[in-house]
Amino acid sequence: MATATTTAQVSEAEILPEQQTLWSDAWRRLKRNRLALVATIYLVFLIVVALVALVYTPYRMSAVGIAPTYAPPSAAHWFGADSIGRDVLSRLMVGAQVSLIVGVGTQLLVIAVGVPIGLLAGYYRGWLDSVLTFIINVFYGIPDLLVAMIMVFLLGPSLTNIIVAIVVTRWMDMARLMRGQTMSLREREFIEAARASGAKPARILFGHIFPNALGPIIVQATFGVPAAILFEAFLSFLGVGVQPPTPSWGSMASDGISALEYAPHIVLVPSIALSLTLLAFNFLGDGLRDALDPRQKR
Amino acid sequence: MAQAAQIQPTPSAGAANALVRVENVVKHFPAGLGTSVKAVDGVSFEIREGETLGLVGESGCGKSTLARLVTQLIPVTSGHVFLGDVELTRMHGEKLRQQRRQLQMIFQDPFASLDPRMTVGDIIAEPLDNFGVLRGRKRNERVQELLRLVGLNPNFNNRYPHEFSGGQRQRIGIARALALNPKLVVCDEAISALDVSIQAQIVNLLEDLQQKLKLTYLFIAHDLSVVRHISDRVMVMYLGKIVEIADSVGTYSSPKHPYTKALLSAIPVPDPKIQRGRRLVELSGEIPSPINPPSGCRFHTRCPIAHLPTPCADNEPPLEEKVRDHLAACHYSQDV
Amino acid sequence: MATPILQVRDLRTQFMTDGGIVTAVDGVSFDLHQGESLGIVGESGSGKSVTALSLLRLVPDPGRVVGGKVLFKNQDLLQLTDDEIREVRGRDISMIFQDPQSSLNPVLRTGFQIDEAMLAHGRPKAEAHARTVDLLKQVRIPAAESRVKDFPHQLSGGMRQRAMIAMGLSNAPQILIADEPTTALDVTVQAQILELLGDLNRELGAAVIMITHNMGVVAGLCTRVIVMYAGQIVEQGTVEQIFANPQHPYTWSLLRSMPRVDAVRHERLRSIEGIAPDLLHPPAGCRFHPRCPFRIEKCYTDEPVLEEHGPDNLAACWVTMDRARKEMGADDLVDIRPGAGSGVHKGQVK
Repeated sequence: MATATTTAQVSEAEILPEQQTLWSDAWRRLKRNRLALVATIYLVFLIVVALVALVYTPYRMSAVGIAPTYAPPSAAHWFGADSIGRDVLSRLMVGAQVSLIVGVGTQLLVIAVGVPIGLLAGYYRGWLDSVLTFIINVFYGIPDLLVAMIMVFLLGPSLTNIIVAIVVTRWMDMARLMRGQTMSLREREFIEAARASGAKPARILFGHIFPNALGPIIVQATFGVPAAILFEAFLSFLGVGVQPPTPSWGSMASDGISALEYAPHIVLVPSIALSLTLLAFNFLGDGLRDALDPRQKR
Repeated sequence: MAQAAQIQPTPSAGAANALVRVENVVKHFPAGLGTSVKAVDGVSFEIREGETLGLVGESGCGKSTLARLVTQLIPVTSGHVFLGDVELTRMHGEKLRQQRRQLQMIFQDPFASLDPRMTVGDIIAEPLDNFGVLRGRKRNERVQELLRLVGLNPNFNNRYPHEFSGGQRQRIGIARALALNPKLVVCDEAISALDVSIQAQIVNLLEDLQQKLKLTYLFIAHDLSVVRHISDRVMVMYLGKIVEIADSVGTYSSPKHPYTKALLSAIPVPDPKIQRGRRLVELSGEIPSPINPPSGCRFHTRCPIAHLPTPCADNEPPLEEKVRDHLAACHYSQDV
Repeated sequence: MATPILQVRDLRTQFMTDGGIVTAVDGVSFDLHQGESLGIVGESGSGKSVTALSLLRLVPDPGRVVGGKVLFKNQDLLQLTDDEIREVRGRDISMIFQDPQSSLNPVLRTGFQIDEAMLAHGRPKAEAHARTVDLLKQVRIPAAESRVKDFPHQLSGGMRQRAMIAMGLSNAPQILIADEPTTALDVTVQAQILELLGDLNRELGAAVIMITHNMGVVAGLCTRVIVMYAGQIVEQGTVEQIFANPQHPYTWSLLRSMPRVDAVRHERLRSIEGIAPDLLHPPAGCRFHPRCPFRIEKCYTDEPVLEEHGPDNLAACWVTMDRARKEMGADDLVDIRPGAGSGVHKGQVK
């Protein structure tokens, strides 16, 4: 049958480029960005440290008086000791857990809250969009620090409550991003094609629009992590954050502030760790933005 | 099967069953300040079972909107669309979705109509998944069968759309449209974005598939030569109205509407001897705004044979049979 | 024949991409004569547009003209300084593009932009302004006097393209290069623009290079045709010869792959099977051989050069259609698979 041969044989002669998924392509581009690569290595190291701290720290992080108070860095205590003789390195390691949990935890929750709201607002538009946009704007209007402090005050200062407080004051950016993404994606032809082939709204939202917005979501979340870490550190610095004896980089810095003149390492060590971490997440975010959306590249 | 395929004589009205009937369909889009774009403004026609009905017109004539009304991707402002005995325009939500098994669509842009984050296999299987018809191994077998059907390597199912050329992507789009064995396939500018040599591949493929699977096509394009080639009947649209419907031979050899004639004269023929001798029917002015279309016959502002002011600027000519099975909407169709 | 006004010799343009070097224009040579209308046809990726851009050194990054000569008035345009080539652009040789929407600055009045094109080449302001209106009349824009004050978005697509042509003609260039000038337009508008270009070519005596993928456009407008495939010229000849008696199988197939609006009966289209080659790894031998119905053993390994195959005809093919007709029954060939006519089915080609 002549017709069948003409259609069937086309493929065989055609040579396709090497198979590449979009993600491996993005990873290739990310690797080429030096700063992002260094940041990634640092963050992997930080995660390893936090994991190790689960099972091992050089000293018990809450053990008092194991070193002279205000002891400067030494071979036994790499980062010295604090005002009641606790080992700063051990506390820094546990503090890394807190920072990572807060940073990543808030962003996962922010995605869980912001993405569905943005999807619904952007896809259905109309009155639903008006209502949701109104709510978003109301939340933008309230002062985040005040709300977070009040919430922690009312609910009690636990790690969970701090994360909830940060999510409540920080979910709007993600919702707004997702709404914009949805609005532009819903006009794309492949969304219309999905509708034409009988896809239900839920499938269009979560099967098509969400995966295609994943790049910007990841970038936004990556930038959200340092903001959340900083917020937690700030709350802890003010004393309404993670409660002793659990160390947070913020409360560690706060503890040392009165001894800044004669034992600066107590403030410097957690501050530097904090700064490096914030920097690393920001560099990674930048790198991801370029890697996931090559069109934006200069 | 004979290779040089054949014009199938168009069955006369009534002899063949209408698969789709479109009655007086209107679509107005709000354009602010109480105005509206009259994209489709009172259109009636039928698509007969097993035929290819071509739809041509220039940009802004409403042909893409009409495609989306036939498939009910957008709701009508007024009018009715029937698929067999079922009125699609009365259905919503889940009921309408169930009807999509019968109507599928092939889109213009092979680079935009496939979800870049999905594998080719998942794209083609999407209609199957949407209706839960086949699962597991059967589903994958169907995907491979479809890939083979459209002339692609069945092992391509794990690849992503960006790895394919335009023509190959359009084949993927065709495979997706065929997954559910639909009755009607609406091809919206399905080959316009492709290179000439690839266009021919896709046109031939569509013709082969039609024979093999007894498909009915609504084939929309701005290129009259392609539409005429693939269609049994051709429908010409201007500013939201159908101005002429005839079999593809009749449209070319004896157009009954001055717009069709102008459109035909404007298409260059790839033969210098013929092309140099052809006379262009020049249309005066620009296409009017669909927000505020001209009174009477919408074409009267540009028509070379209009009798002004009356009747052309006063009375809208009905779309009526001028010769057997040849409809046109013109007061002076005998002068064309 | 008189000396050509433009001589292109062995032009090579490359793009440095992530994957490697793509030679988009690979050894293109041709002449353009005074007042003639030359069509350059090809599909996407054939190098036709890059050829046009290379002539005026307008190839965008990461592209670079890496070799060859473009001789215009005894000077090599590729050797001029940036200032000198800028003088040539728009004055001696001007170019109009596919998309008039993005070629015009949306925040400046149309007339002002045409004035500018003349001011840039030293015409006095008052004179330029008066000429703008004349030019708009010449390209048949109705109510030209008031249209000069319009912003580009107030003009329709066809009007914008006319305005672009007016701008292109403003300094009475000797050569007008039109890169797919009608592709973005509706057919009725396309026909008008083509007619306009034809009239201007005859009346003003400016040579026109028409870059297009549409064989019909070439048939109506051009006197000579160059057919490009995968960065190279595969055939060159008069419009009559190219259409009546093409020698390269690609040209021959291309003409048979288009449905004609004046076709008397329905014939199956003769598609060109396969896809255009990846220019990162062009096929060895003749670049068309993986898709060619008439390939022979030699085509796999030896690259054909442009040779004369008749008066006014050059083709780069080891077989040519004359032989394919005589020996391979090209005219009655039903099977359109690569190698079908010649009987050489050498399986897959790397």
